[in-house]
This record gives sequence, structure tokens and C-alpha cells, in this order.
Amino acid sequence: MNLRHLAFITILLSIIFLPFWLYLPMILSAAVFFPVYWEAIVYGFIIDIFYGGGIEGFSELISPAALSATLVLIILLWLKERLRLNF
Amino acid sequence: MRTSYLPKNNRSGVRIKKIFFLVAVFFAGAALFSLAEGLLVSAVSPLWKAENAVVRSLTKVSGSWKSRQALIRENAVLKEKILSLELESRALRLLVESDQALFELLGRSGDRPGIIAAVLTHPPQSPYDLIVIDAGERDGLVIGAEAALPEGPVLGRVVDIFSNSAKVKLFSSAREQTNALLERHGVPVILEGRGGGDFIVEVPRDTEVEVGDRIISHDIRGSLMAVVGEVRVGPTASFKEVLAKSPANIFTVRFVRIIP
Repeated sequence: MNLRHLAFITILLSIIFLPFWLYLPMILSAAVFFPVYWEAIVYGFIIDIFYGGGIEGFSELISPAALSATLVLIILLWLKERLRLNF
Repeated sequence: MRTSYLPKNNRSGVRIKKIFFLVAVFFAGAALFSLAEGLLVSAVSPLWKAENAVVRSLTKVSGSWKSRQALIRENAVLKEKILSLELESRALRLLVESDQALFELLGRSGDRPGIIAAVLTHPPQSPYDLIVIDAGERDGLVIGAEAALPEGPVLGRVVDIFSNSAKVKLFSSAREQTNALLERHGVPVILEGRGGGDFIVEVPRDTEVEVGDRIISHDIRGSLMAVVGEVRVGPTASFKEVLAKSPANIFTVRFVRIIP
């Protein structure tokens, strides 16, 4: 099990048991630390399934948390490149 | 940390591929997770129940470590509080009885049957003002059913139902608007949620509002929804900004009554 898998399990358990002000910074830190951290989008879906109004389908604004995660990851891609960070 | 010496064109191609991959993950996730919603909530519900049981037993254990002096002080404060609440409840009982008599005269039943449900998760576990309860389709819950505290104040409505659990969106959810009445003069208001159990109401500048005023539901029952905590008015504003708070502590609520 590598560090990325360990982080995935830790953050998943945090989403289930801990307050949002602990797991959201953890997700953001992981997104900065790991390259192309697509797992953040999965966390977004999980957060909205567990605690949000659910996923209504493509006609509605689907999963605001997952959408935000996708946008943040795209911004981070650009930002990491600008800062010449290779992680 | 390493410096990248890749040519610029190659870098932008790699970036576009990565962005495409992320967007693909988003759409694939939307399709997959919309199918698995009920399954995931049902799978995690036992974990939340176990967590609640562990937290409750830990709270009991930590309580037994309190010093004797602290317990004596707390006991005295609680006794005083009980006396004051008993007086208040005697005064209120008369009002309740007269309300019941009035409802019966009007041909409206006073008591509404309800289902008591335990709260599995509540804020701050949830970033939204939404709670998950342990009653669902099997218990006869329907979407739109009202959720209230066993003591009376209404909290929100059922928005999603699974076989043995359901989600309740609190009236204090951000941007959630609910019709209500400012009890002092029966002024109809729109109660807007701001998250964390807080509300905001706008009333004309001349409307009389004071801290501690009650905001009640717009139906025949007039259940308590919020209590005014602060009133703000600018020197040239034509409206007053009333900040209100839910009477329940949504961060610790343990049981709710679901009224179909």
C-alpha cells in the first residue's frame, strides 16, 4: 500500500466520522501534494451523497462538491505548472 | 521539487490531457454515484450508529471523572433551572389547553402522530445544514414530511428517503427560504437560512422587533422556528436586518419527530 492509497482511506474515514473543517483541508492538502489528485472528485461525490441533497442527475446542478473539486484540481494543475512544482 | 525543462507546446498538450481526464472522472462519477446513492448511505448508516454509541458511552465515562465540588455546583444550578422551567411550563400548559380546545371547536385535530427517529449525522460532520436520521421508507416516511424536536420546535423537511434512513434539510440551510410569522405583531416574514442554525429576516424599518422575539411557523400550529438574536438597522436603510437563531442546537440534536 503506497502513500496515495493510505491517504485515500484516511480521508474517506474522516469524511464518515469527522467534522467538515477537518476533512476539507485534508482533501485540499492531498490535492496539492499528489499529482492529478482525481480522488478529490470522488470525495466530492461522497460528501454530497452522505451529507448533501443527493445527486439529482445531469439536468440539475450535479454534486456541487464534486464540481468544486474538479475546478480546484484544474486550477491547481495550472498553478503547479506556473510555480514549476513537479508534484 | 524539480524544474521542468519540457518545451512549452508539449507542456500545454500534457495539461489538456490531464484536464480532459479530470472532466471524464467527474462525468463518470456523476453517472456511477447517482446509481449507488441509496446503497452507499445504507452501507454507512451502521457505522454512524456505532459511532454515536461510542461517543455516548465516552461522554458518560468522562462525566464520571468530574470533581465532587463541580458536581455539587452543577446540581445546585440545575435545581434552580428546574424550578424556573416548572413555573414556565405550568403557565404554558394553560395556553396549550386553550389552543387544543380552539382546534377542536374548529374541527382540527390538535395532536399529530409522528415517528421518533435518532439523528445519525449532523453538522459539523455535514458541511451543509442537513441531518441524516435512522428512519426511512420502511417506517412510512415521505418526502416533504416535517421534522421537529420532540419538544415542539420545527427544524426542517425530509428531502431524501432510503429504505432505513432519510435526509432532513434544515430550514437554516444556506439560501433556504421559509414562510414564517414574527410572533410579536403577527407580521409575515421570509426566514432565510444562513447555515449553522442561523437565519436572516428583512422587515420594514418601522416594524417593531426586539431581541428574544419568537419567529413561528406559518401554519395553524404556530410552532417555534427561530428566536431573534440581533437587530441591525443602518441610518438610511429602509429595512431592518433581523438575525435569528434556531431554538435547537443543531450540532448536538439527538432525536427528531417526523410528522407526515
